[in-house]
Amino acid sequence: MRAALLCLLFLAANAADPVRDAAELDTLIEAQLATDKLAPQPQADAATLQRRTWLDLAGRLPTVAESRDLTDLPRRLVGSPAWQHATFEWLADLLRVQSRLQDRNPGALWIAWLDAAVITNRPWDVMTREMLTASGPVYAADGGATGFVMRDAGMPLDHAALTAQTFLGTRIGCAQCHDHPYDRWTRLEFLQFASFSADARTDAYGGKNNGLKQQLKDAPPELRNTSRAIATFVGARVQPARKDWLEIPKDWQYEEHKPGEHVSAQALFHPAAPAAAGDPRLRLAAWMTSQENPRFALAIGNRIWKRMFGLGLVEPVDDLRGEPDAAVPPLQARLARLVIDNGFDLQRIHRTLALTRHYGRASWSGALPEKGGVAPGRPVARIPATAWWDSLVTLATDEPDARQLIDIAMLTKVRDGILKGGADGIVAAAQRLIAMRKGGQKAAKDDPELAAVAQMMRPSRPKAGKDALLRASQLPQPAPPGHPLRILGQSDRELIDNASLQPNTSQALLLMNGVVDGEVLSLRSRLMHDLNALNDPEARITHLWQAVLVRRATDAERVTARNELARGRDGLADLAWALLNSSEFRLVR
Amino acid sequence: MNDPTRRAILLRAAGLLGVSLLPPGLWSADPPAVTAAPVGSAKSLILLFMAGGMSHLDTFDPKPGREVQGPIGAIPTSVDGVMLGQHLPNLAKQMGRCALIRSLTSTQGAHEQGVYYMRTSYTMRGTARHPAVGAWAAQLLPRMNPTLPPFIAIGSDSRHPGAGFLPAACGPLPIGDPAKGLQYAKPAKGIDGARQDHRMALLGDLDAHGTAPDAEAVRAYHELYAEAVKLMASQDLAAFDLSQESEAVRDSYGDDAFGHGCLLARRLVERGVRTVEVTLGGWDTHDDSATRIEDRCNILDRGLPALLSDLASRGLLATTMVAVVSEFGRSPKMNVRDGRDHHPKCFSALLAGGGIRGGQVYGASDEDGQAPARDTVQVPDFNATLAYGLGCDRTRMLHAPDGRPFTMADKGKPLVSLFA
Repeated sequence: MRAALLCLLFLAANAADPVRDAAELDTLIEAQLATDKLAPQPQADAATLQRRTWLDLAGRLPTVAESRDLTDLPRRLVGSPAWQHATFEWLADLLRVQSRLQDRNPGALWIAWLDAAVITNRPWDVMTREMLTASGPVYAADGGATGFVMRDAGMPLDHAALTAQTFLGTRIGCAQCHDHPYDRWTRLEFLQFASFSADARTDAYGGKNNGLKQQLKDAPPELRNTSRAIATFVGARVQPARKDWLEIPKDWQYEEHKPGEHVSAQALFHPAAPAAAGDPRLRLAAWMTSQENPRFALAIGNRIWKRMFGLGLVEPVDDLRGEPDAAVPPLQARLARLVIDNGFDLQRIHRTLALTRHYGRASWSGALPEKGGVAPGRPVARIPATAWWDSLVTLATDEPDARQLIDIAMLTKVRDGILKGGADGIVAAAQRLIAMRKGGQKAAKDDPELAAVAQMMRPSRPKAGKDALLRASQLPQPAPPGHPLRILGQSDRELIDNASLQPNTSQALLLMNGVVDGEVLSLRSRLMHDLNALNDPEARITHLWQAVLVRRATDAERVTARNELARGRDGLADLAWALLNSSEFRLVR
Repeated sequence: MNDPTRRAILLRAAGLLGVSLLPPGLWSADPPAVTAAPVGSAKSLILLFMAGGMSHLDTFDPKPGREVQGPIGAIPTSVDGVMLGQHLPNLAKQMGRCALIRSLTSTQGAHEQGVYYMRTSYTMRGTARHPAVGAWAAQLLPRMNPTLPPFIAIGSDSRHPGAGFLPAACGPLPIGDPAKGLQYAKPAKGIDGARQDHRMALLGDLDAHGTAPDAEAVRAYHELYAEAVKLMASQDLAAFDLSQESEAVRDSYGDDAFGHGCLLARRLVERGVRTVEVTLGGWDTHDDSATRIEDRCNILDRGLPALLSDLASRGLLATTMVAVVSEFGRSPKMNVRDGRDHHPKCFSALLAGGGIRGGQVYGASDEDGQAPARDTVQVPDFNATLAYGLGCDRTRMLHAPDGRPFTMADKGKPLVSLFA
């Protein structure tokens, strides 16, 4: 079965040809523009396109050295370390990844799972199946995907609504309480869909009846809280679903069916979910990721489209409406086929879209269709929060794409060690942990195993201190409130796609008085180090413009810049400050 | 269904003629429900947003003796016959200052949509973005402090609708951590006033010669940089510094982000900030709700009563309206995990100060808190009440870029009877 599937994927992947596919998309895009009576923009100049491609695919500006090579950007960037950071954040916003899930449950393993999926370019359908069917202990080598279930612990109906929104781009949440007022979903269909996964439970203490919860109640009061926290970390698990039905609730308001009746799991739309024994989520996952599912490929395709073209074919990107098996416009159909032909390979799909003529068009600041579609060129928009921060990190540090992977083997070893001791082991670990916190750094060095436990309980990666100049993906997920990333609009991960492009005064203050002077203009920064290494003022101007705006300075700008540089060190800093606060730096276009 | 143009014309006609277009029969119960130019006595609004969906049965609308009540009981308050959830004892003592609304209803049962509706009076649509209540107030009312922004949001989520289609400067200044106050308000070390001016001039020069197109994303920041410069020069920056309060005052509010937020809100309205929103999250109590709600109530029951007393003792309560609201309530029937699920059909809110007559309850839910039993209050009605209290012209239509007209509380009617 598995071999057959792999073989199929292989064939499917081979059916795709990026250059041909891009050309076909261009034909359909231009046809759409013609229908809308819009003239496509001409091609953007090389510098604009280079900067755009870096921001879209690498999630940051190129360094000056990197910017020297303009060739073959889509191929070189997609899959690169820089891409991995950007794509992690893109998916983390979609999946609402948090370092700390509900009830103090750990998100570290989920983050590690997403890291691995992005780095190895795991196909989207495989990722989806892993998340939808995840069960077992969270702190196990393959436990990370449970994060998607843990994320909505105790909210099985919301989880179903969020599942449809995440993977099908379809909002059925209204139908949780009544037939959807604006779309076709009925409350009955909602319950049927939720029945696949509602029985999958999250247990903080590794199972309801193992008595751990009770035993911890008897722990000494000063150790109780820490003991419970440790128990949550080491014991958290997802119990597979067994039943595939839900009861009709008491507030049922329709003639057909009565409260208390059982509703069985059923796919939201044609085709039916395949039959299978065991956890009903296996059927859900098989149906969801099937190539016959008319929404699964389109939903992720539309998201990638938005990421690359700045406007989804459907907007909002997770609000596909109407009859799922009705014919969609040709461009949407072609996009869905592209996703399937590429075997849900996210890298290949991004690369293909980047190869279109349309991707290379000059920007567009005119009106956009409210329900999505095709714009004549790239809509001018504010730079996303993560790309903004990551670009500042790029200017300030030597290795912007440095990363630290979470040591899963270490964590699971520690977990097993503590669990073996049962309640006593947990209480003992709590005792040591409290002592270690009092003892500070030194105590942590003396007891690396316990330090690992402490690490589990902190929402950050090992080296991500509060002021760490690391890319967003390496910081706590999300960065804490008040962190520059949050001020710039990073998602709080409470809702799907919750990042914001809203401008506010705090952002202006941050750029004027905070991170620019503090980090980017610091003498230790890469930018200032490189600028100071150049003696010729003209070379400095060239370098500064290339680093910050990724283009050559115009003659008029050079005049202004020379005047500044004549003022010495302050002039150089002020010039860099002004570029980093300029309208141009804040835009993707 | 909702033809905005037609509605706008009707509203405009109503405003101009000073009469209602409702059929006469609907007037009998509460004749002065619509007044064209309301005058409230509130200068400022402190909006305490209980994010996640606050259980009305366990807080503002307990049902003692009913099976639905669950493990959290009810306690009497300083007002005869009015009870609160058992974990709000401090607030109970100040019931004489508060009005409860127990018949609030929303059409939105998901968080994102519910919060958006509560904040804007409009349901989420496509890519259109409606202004939040505080942004409307910033646009409709004169600025009271020339340098502090008129709308400040403390601890709110990342997708606040903010200014919506109004100018960016109407949107909230976000404060992530109130204990840290306003970050980055002072120039970096070594940058004096002259140098700052020079930088701004240089920035203006480069922007003027730059290649950035004339787009909304560009214009908005020009406005906000001007705001930022004003703010940096403000005499009132000290408002953001909670350490200037005595330890006793700080203790009374509670040492948590919400308590800090309430204290900061008081310091801001004191200096003429029009609207301050403070968010307390964590009310999405789908399981083990008794434990979680107790935990939330302990926080709410410090910050809110402290805020009310503090405002009163400074003579600010008469001019400051305090509102406590959530995106929806929670189901009276407890689920199998000892929690309560979303329940937009009926929930509660609290108002105090700014001309609100304390010690009263508006509306009522049915015996189990399932649905409003009388005097149903729609979300736009609630926001219209805030608008009325602040003296905003609710009939004033402002246009989104695509030309569609909107008003501060859509078609909401203020609960005029709440006011003294």
